[in-house]
Amino acid sequence: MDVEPIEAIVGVALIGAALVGVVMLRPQVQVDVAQGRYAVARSAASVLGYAYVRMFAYSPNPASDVNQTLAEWADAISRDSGLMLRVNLSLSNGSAVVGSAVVFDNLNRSEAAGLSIAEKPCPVYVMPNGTVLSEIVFEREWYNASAQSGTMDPLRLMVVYYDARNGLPIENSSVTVSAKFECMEATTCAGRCANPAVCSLIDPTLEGNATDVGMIYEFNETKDVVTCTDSGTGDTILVCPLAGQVNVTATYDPGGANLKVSRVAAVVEASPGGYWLDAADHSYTAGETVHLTYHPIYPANWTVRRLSDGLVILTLNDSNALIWDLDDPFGVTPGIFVVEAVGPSGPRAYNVVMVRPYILIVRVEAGARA
Amino acid sequence: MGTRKAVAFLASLIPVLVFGAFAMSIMQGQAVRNPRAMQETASLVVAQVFEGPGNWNSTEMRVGLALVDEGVNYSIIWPYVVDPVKLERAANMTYGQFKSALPTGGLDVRVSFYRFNESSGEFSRRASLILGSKVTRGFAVGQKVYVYLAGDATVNGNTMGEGLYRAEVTLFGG
Repeated sequence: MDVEPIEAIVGVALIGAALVGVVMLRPQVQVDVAQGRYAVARSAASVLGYAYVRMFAYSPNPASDVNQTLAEWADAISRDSGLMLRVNLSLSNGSAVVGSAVVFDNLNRSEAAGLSIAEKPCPVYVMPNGTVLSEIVFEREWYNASAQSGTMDPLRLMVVYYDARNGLPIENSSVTVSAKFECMEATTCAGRCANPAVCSLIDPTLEGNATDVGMIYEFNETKDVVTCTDSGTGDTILVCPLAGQVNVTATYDPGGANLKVSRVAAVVEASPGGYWLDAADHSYTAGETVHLTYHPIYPANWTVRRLSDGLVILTLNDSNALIWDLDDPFGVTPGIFVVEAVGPSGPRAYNVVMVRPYILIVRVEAGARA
Repeated sequence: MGTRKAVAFLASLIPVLVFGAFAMSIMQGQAVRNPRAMQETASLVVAQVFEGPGNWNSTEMRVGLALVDEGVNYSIIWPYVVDPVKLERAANMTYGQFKSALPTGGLDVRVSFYRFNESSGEFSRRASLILGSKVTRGFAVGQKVYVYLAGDATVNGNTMGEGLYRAEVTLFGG
């Protein structure tokens, strides 16, 4: 049989198309709907839990930014997988859920053709790296000393030692504090004072042990003020301490390796007084309420900062007390926090509290679209 | 006469084409012979690759990419958080080594990673990395999960940035 050119061309083209079709033939991937849905929910819960720990609990990122990032990720996963999702974060102290927050929700249960639920508990904790950092937190912006009353404010301060990586306090056997004030020199004193015998009392130091108040060490001692009568004017004047600086050094000795931390505070010549921040406790667990008071009448503006990186976790204005409920996943992190209160007058007041690690439970509900 | 022959030839091709197209579509859409068994195998592979840290030092190596946060007394395993060092190591394995370090039951395996683009809010259409077989054949089952790459990884000179990825595990054969 003769083969016409057109037949040959069509035949060759069809054979070529068949070969290309065979080469292009790919198996269609079979996906078990229920298993696939659960795998998405399970992996999303793990990833979002890790992101919370790394991007918020142990990073200086603001809570609102992290909340938004998690919501965007959940939205992207929902669109990419074709599933409706609901992502809920819960705080647990190990025995009970104490608070929760919904990060993302586009799940319509009445329309869902099937539902898978995955819960992932994440310890909000990272391993320490053994690098010890330390800090002295003065409980006042400055301390007053008065010649007229012959007294001064107690030198109240907190000392904390914490791991650089996870920001959690390190327990020590003992912490000693040594403060050195600025005082008149004995020769100057003898020249100015009508009663130069006080010059023999000049001792610029104040030393003592700090008390363990829950892996945080509090020092609360008062320097004996030395005054004399000015030989020229007859006024009572300060001999020690003088208005100026006070150098404070805290030392602890774990296993023979001395670690010292020093910081400078200020002394102002004024009548002792003013307000302190009083904390009911210094160590808290998720679900508990941090309670600090400033003054029964005068309100203050409050700021809560994480010591390790300065992250501002909470602000509050015009309040006599700080009530901080540790039940919002985006309102608490583990670590040491410095609480600051600014009143209508006088120095700023500070205190320190510690929040223990907790467990974050990420619950992802994945619903198939009908 | 020639025209009639051509028309007859083309007409005779119609049933061949229809039958061929039908056969190919049936073949492509045909379910796997034992889908539940293959699906279970895929789940096992996903669990080992993304939920466990693997065993990289024994003679019977097991591939596991999960990040481990280690301390002195204990460690925390982060499932679906990929350790970039382990990912680089897995990418440098031969296909034979990779396949034998997974519970595939003799099936071929591919693990693909698709990066999440923060600006577009979408996952990339093109895989950033493919572990395992580069070609697919036969019947296939797959499972899709979402993972976080916990640091930059360099594979074949290309850098995979830290971030969110979609990972697809595909088993095929038969």
